[in-house]
Amino acid sequence: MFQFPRLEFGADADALREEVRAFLAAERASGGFVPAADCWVSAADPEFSRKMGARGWLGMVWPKQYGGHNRPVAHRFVVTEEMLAAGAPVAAHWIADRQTGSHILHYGTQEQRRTILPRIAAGECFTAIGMSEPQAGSDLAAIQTAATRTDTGWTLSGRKIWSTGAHYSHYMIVLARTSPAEGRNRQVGLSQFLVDLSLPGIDISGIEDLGGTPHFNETLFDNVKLPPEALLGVEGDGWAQCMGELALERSGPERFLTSLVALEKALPLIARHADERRAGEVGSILANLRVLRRMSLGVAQMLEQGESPATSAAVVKEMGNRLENDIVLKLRAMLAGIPKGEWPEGLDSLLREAVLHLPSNTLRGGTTEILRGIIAREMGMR
Amino acid sequence: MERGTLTLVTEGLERILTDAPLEAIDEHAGIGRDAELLWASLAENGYPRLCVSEENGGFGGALGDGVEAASLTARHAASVPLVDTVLAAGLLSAAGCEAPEMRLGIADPIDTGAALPHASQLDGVLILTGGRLQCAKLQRAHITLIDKAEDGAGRLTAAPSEILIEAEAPEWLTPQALRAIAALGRAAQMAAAMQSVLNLTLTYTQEREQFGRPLAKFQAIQHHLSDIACETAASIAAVELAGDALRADPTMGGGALEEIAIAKTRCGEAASKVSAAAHQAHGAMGFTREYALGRFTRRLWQWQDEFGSETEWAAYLGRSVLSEAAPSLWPRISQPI
Repeated sequence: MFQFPRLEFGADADALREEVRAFLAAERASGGFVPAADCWVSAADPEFSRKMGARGWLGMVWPKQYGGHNRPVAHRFVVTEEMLAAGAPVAAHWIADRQTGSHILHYGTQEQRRTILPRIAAGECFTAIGMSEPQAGSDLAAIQTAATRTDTGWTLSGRKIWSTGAHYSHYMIVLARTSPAEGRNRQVGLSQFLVDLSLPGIDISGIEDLGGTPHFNETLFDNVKLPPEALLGVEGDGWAQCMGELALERSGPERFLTSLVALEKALPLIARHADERRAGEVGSILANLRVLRRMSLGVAQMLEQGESPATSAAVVKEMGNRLENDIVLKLRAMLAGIPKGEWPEGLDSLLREAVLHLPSNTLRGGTTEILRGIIAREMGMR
Repeated sequence: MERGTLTLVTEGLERILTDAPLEAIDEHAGIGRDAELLWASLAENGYPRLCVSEENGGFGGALGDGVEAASLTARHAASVPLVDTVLAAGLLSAAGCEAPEMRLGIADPIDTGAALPHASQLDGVLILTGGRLQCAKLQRAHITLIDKAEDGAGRLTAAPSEILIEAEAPEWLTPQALRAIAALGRAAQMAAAMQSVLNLTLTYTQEREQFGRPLAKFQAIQHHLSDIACETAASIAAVELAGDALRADPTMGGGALEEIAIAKTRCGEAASKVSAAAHQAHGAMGFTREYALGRFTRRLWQWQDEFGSETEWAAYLGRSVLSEAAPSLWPRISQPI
C-alpha cells in the first residue's frame, strides 16, 4: 500500500506529449471542443473519439493483432492526462478504453477480441459498466440481476443503474448472479456478461444528474437471450473479476484532474490579484496534485507488471476525490473578492459545473466510505 | 551511492537504533552518557559522513541518499542530530572542505532568528552568510533552550565566535537552496515518523477494547486509520519524488528546489492530519507523556515548522506559478518524474 514504483517517461513519451498538445490546441482553435470540467463523464463526442482512434490514441497498450498499438502504459498515461487537463470531450470512449477493452482482452473469447477490440481502438465502439442496481449500491454483492442457463446460452433479467453513457454505448459488462450465495458468502455465484445492448428486451432510460445532464442511466433487462459466449471469464468468478476491473477504474488521473480545467481558466485572473493567501492555496494544490500523480503513475506501473493493486488504487481514488473537492473550494476562496466584471468569459459556468459535480466525486466508482473500508481491511482491521 | 551500499547502511543503522536505549535518551533530551554512546556508535560506523566525499573519508553519498538513510532515526523517534549532521558535513564536503568529525546543526539561512534545531546536542553549526559557508563551534553557555521544544532546539544568545572552517559557498548553494536541503531532511523525517504513528495506532486500536470489542472494529476508527495510511503513503511518495529530483539535479539548477518545496508542503500538511487522527484514535492514553505516540507527534509538529512550514513553502510555490507571464499549473504537474 505504501510502495508506488517509479514509472519513467522516455524521450518518445515526451514527443508524444507534444503531439497530443498540438492536436488539442488545433482542436480548440478550430472550435472542435470547449474545455469542460468532468469531461470524462459529461463530455461525449463520438466524432472526437474517432479522431483519437485514428491517431492511435485508444487501445494503446493492447496487442496490434486486436487493433491495439502495443505501447507502454506510460504512453497511455500521457494521452489520458493531457486529455483531462485540456477538458477534452473524451467521455464516449473513456470506459471502453480504460477498463472494458482490457477486460475483454483478458477474459474474452478470441472472436470477441477480434471483433470488438479493433472497434474500440478506432473510437467506434463504446461501453458501459453494469454493476450497481436500485437495491445494490455500495453493497454490490446484494445484486439481484440473474442469468440462467438455457439450451442456447443464457437468459438475463434484472435492472442496472448509474451506468454512465449506456445510452450511446454498444456493450455493457453486466454483473449477474448465476448461482445462489453460500450462506453469508454472497461473493460466490456471481458472473460477468458481455452484453450487446442492441439485443431485444433491453430498455435504457436516462437519468439527469444534479446539474441536469442526462449522463447516466437505468437499464432494464427483460428475459434477454444471450449467446453462450456472452459469459465473460469464468462462471462464478464475477466478484474477483469485478475487483480487478475496479483497480483499472479507480487509479487513473481522472480521479484528481477533473476540476483542474476550472482552476487553470482562473489562474491568470488570480495572478493579477496575487497575494500570500492566494499563492499559498495555489502552492498547496500544486503539491497535492504532483504527489498524487506520482502515486497514480505507480499504480499504472503495477498494472503493467501484471499486478492487481486494488488497495493502492483505492488510496489514489480516496485522496484524489477529496482533493478534487478541495480544489473547487479553494478556487472559490481564491476568487472571493475579485470583481466579477474581471472574470474571463466562461469561468462562472465552469466553476458552477465543477460545484455541481462535487457530490459525485466521492461517490462514483466506490464511495469514500467503501474505499476507506478496503484500506482498513488491507491493514487487518476487518 | 550504490543501492546495495545504501541498503547496508540502512540495515546497520537499524541495528544500532534498535539496540540503543532510545526512550531513556529521549527523556534526557538527547544529552548525557547514553546519547554519547549512541553517537559514538554511529560515528564509528561512519554514518554521520554518509555524504562526505570518499577522499575525505566518507561514503560519498548524494544528499538525497543521505537523507533517505538518516531519516530512519525518525522512525525510531531517536533524539539524535544525525540528519542535520549528514547534510551539514555533506555540504561542507561539497564546498571542498574537510568536514570535522562532530555533531553539526544547520542554521536556518532565511529566517535567521529561528531556533537552531538540536542546539544543545551539537558541537558545531553550519552557517551560510554572505555567500560564505562557515562551520562554527557551539558553546552550550550561549544557547537558550526553547521551552518544551524537542531535541534541544534553542536560540543562540551570541554569534559563535570560534569559526572552525570557512569557505566560499558553491554558487548554487543559495540561502533558499540550503533551506530546501534542510527542509527535505525534515520532510523525510516526517514521512518516517508517520509510518511509526500508523503502526502504533494500528496496534493500539486492535488491542484496546471498548463496548465489548476492539476499537479497530469500529468503522469510525477504521476511517481514521485509512486517513493516516493515505497521508503516510502520500508523504513517502513526496519524499521519493524530491529525493529522486535532488539525485538527478544535485546543484539544484533544475527542478529539485520545486520538488523539495512540494515535499515539505505535502508532508507538513499530512503531519497535521496524521497527528490529529492518531490522537483521536488513541484517546486520553495518547495524550500522556508516558505513552510512545507523543514521541512521534511532538516531533511531527516541530518538524512541520522547521526550515519553512508547509504554509511558507506552499506560498513559495504559488508565487512562482503566479509570477509567470502565462500562469498555469499543468506544465509543472506534468513534468517528467
